[in-house]
Amino acid sequence: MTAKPQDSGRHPGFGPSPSPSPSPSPSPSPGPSPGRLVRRRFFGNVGALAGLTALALVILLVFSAAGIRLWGVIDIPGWWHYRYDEVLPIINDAAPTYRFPLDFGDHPFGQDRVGRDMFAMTMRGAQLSIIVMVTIGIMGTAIGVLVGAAAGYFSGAIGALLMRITDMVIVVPGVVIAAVLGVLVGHAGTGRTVLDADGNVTVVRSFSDDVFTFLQQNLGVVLLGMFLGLVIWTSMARLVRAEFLVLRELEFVDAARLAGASNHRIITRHLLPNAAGVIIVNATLLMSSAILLEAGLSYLGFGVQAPDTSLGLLVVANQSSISTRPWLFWWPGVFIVVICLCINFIGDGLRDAFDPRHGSAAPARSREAAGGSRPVPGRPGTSSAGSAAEPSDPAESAGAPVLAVRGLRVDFAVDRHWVPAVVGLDFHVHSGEVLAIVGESGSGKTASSMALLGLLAANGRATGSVWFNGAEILNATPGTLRRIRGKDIAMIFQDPMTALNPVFTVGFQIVETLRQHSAMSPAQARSDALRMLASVELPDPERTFDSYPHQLSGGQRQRALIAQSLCCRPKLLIADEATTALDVIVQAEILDLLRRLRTDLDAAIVLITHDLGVVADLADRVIVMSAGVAVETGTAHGIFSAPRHEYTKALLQAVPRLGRRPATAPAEDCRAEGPTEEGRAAGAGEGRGRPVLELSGVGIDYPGARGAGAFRAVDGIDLTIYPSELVGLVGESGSGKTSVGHAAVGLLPVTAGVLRLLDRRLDSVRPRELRALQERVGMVFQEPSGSLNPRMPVAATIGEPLLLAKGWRGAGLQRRVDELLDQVQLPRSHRNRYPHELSEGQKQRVAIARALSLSPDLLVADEPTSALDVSVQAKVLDLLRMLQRELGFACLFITHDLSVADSLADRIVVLQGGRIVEQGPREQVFGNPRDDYTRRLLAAVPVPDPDSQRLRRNQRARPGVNRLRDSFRAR
Amino acid sequence: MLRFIFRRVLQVIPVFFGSTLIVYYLVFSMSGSPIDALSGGKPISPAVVAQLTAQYHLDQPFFIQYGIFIKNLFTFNLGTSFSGRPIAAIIGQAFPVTARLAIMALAIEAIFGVTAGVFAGLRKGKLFDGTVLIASLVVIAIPTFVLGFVLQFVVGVKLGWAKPTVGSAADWADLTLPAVVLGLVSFAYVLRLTRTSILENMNADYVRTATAKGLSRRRVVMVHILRNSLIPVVTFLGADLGGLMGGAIVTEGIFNVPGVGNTLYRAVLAGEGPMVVSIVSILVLVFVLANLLVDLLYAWLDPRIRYA
Repeated sequence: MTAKPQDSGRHPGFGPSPSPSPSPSPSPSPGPSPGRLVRRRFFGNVGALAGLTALALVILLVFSAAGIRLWGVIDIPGWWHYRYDEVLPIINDAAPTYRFPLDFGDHPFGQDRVGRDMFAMTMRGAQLSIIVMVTIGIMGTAIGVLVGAAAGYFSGAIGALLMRITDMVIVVPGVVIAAVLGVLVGHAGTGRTVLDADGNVTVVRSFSDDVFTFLQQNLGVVLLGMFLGLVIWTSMARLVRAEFLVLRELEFVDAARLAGASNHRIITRHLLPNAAGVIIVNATLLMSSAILLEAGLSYLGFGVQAPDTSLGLLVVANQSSISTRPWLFWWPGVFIVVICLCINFIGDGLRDAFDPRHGSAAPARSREAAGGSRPVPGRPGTSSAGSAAEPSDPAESAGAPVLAVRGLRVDFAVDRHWVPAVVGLDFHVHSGEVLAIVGESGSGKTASSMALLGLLAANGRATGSVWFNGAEILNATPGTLRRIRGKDIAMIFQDPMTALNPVFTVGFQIVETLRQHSAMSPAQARSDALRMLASVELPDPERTFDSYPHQLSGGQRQRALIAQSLCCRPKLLIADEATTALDVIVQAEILDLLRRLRTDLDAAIVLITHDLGVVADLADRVIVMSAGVAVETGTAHGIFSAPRHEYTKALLQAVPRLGRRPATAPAEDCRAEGPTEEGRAAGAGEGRGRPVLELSGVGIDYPGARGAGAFRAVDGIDLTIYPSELVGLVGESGSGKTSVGHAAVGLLPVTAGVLRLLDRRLDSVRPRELRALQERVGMVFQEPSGSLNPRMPVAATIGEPLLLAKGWRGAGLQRRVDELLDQVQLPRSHRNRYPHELSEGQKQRVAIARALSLSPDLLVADEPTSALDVSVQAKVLDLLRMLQRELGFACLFITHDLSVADSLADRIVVLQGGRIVEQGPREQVFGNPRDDYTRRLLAAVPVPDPDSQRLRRNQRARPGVNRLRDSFRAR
Repeated sequence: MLRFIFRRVLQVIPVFFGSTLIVYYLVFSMSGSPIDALSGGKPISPAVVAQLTAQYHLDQPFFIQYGIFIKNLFTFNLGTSFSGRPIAAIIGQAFPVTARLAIMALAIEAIFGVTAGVFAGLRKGKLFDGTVLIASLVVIAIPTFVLGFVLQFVVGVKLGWAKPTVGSAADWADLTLPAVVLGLVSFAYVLRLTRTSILENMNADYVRTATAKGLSRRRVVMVHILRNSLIPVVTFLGADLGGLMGGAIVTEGIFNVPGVGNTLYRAVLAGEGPMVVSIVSILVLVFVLANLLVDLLYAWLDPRIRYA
């Protein structure tokens, strides 16, 4: 991902001291609200604006023509003079003349064959077409949204039923329905012939004669539109359903449910506003297809009936005169196309305004500034001129670095301005050396590494100098870069799931790389690839070779990606957050692998990470970046033991460390009745009040795909939380920790065992009681952005539980919201902000305020800080700790980060594969773990201190594997 | 895989019965007296009425009638049209024509739509992209019958490049013009969909990986981006095939193509109930098959989709 330049300039002085009026990363300036932004983008779109103007003009013309004529406001001879069904004497009947495009005589659009004024007819036709269009649009949108919302929200039987109904409507040909509707709405007005007993043919007018007369009025057309709306809603329903299926999974929906919102409220207040973009855009497009539908039906004779007229009917009626009186065909045709085109342009503009990714606006770029000749930094003339083609070029003298970066500057074009992401970066790496670039989000660490190989996004540019292997490669020709990429410099990316192409097998992708850089037969490439897969310690190389990325686990994918990047024996490996997406144990293995690579391949490694533990584990030298600038450079030992720069110090201070918090005797806590060790071990709760939460033998299933068996996420869990207790629930991904959290507050049903929340069995409570119970629990979710409704201001979000549970409104609600804002140390002025105007840390504070708004007895915090930068995390953890001490709620703190759990919790519960492997007081679990898994987990956590990390590493040392080295010897 | 197909077919059963029931009801009950519908509004004598009543079991309750119709449908006993020809034979004649037309239209929209979409996506914001986008909006804005009629008039009549109307033979060459008309509208959608999809995938992580591997731009685009971008396009094309096989009533009407759409339209106009319901039943099956095809293609293009 490209760096977010607007983030730069954040984190001025941070530290663990919780200041009463915090200045946590000065929030992004209160930008325009989402609505205003959409409006601005929409009106900045030339096509959309032109479409809107033209449509307005057409509508004005069409309807004023009627008004003026019908109500006799003005009676100008010529224009608007005639009724559409008036038959007039034809001027110059013998040879119809008409000066295209406009006749400035009595009949601007000419006359038709019987003498009716074509202008009046076109206007009337356009009126009816527009009325039908709007009715169909409104009707179709209404039904589509209703059906789609219901089908998306209730995905079970109701959803399936609705989708089958949608299928049925799609399947039945429109012409059949139209024919029948035509009968209902007026087609029968033409009557049908019947042979009576005497053999006479009579015309029988059917029942809908009244409707037929109605049709002469506009109501009949509205009716027609409404009936057609019954046919055309299907696409809208499908889109809204798809949108709802996505939105439904977002955490703010869970939060709203927990706040006591009814299904109705969730749909109307939380989901629909967020689907509004999709709905508006598609309603527009629906209208343009509606006008075409009406035209098509008129063509078939099922739409508006003569003598009234619509544009479609006019075109059809006058097709045959295209060679004699072409204007009869062209004018109504032009009107249809213009109206439709206007709507399409508006729809396109709306779509781009709601989702700017698809727009055709070019990213502002001025590449010329980047290219060209620039002063080459003082480097001895080792001009072996980019001879990177030689793989085993031994020209590298021992002293020369593999990579030397001087004065690197990266800018991104944002709103036609260059915003710097990296400024004046210098560094170099030698063979066999690991250089770590550390920084928080927005520090420019990723942008700098992307710039090296010319991989910046289209709106990025890089200047400065990058010497690799004795040649300048920054902004080198595409051909040169291509020869270096993958061969001499390889990259490993953060998320192995998205970094590998999902539609090709791992083997295909490695073979592709190999054959790109050296001529080899497919068979040879295959065997090389297999050897590479074996060398990164993948258990079954053959199987992995033929697997698609999604068939592998996270760790296996990352190994496969590493195998791919190493297959051409690069001299430099850039690992961009290569272990961030992995669990600690796998991370430790991958770090071991990288460490071996360095020695085995003698490659240089540039390690880009936010994780100081990873740095301490692997790096020789470190660059600390902040806001695009390298604030400190030094050896790993130096940086960790004697940081010089304020930022580095604060960063190190903010990192939670295992074992840094002193053992706390229970008495130390402000709780009146501190739980005793024995009491916990025995699981008995006398003397500490009734447990807030009690799970015994709890199992949680996720229904499998239809036909497949259910997936058991959690199995046989016993867990008790007493009042005012802070319990840390730790586990790796897939351990079921989030399921436990959701079940605890009644968001997930328990399928086995008993779960008691505040002394009530959740499986037997009625919905009303459950709601009452949920008023006494709060939940903080993982994703700060996902857990806040983007379309709700802060005050409404925080106040929702109060409004729903207590019915508070007005000044009372205001006061309580202000109080809560104070408690989470947010300025009261932020009450009217929308989530996108807040920083991540501030969003999480809002989420905490919402969770605490009803003064809960239990707070469930599900990875509340894992999406935050360390410095922000430290502050949020401080806040939580403080609030818990102050308000005395019990807390189930769910995290994958053992250090965080260690710094916060009284008691630790370790989950693995849905089962509890160990639980006990923090000092015991972390200090003297009984279970082997806990021990492995603890050993895998990288500690931000190179020296103790080396010790820890050696302690967990496993039998060394030299397969990698062997594999390269074999080549 | 087989289970997946089985499940899909199972899902379709309610849709099949639901939609045929709707159509049966609409055609026979809503349009006044079933006898009128059966006679197509032509004058008929009481004797014929009696005969029709017996033939279509009109004295039976509605659901029994429907049941008998379904039974006949599955035993290929579709009855005869008003003209006396077996309905099965008429449908059997019309379907190949429509199939030819559909395949040609599909080829046109797929080839040109994807190509133009890829180029527009790669050159986002450039002149080509802008032109193509506006052109596609214009094409979408023109009603099919206007487009068809103008093309017929200009290309067929004025310029004489193609036959303006299709005879009863309806071979591949005859169908070119209607196929172009049919393909043009979907072409615009395919183009826009491809473009959007390309734009979405261009910034994907795996594209960056492919570039970082040293692959050429051409290979990155043609292999890595295109394969992923085609997934939604193929879905659209498959659904469109289902629609095209249902017969394009307007286009077939303009060019006088003796296909399904035309037959259905005439049957509707003439109120030939049995014919309408028979055709619709077959269309439902076609729709189902097209959807199944889309699902299979989808799974082939995207190995992450499993037949669950």
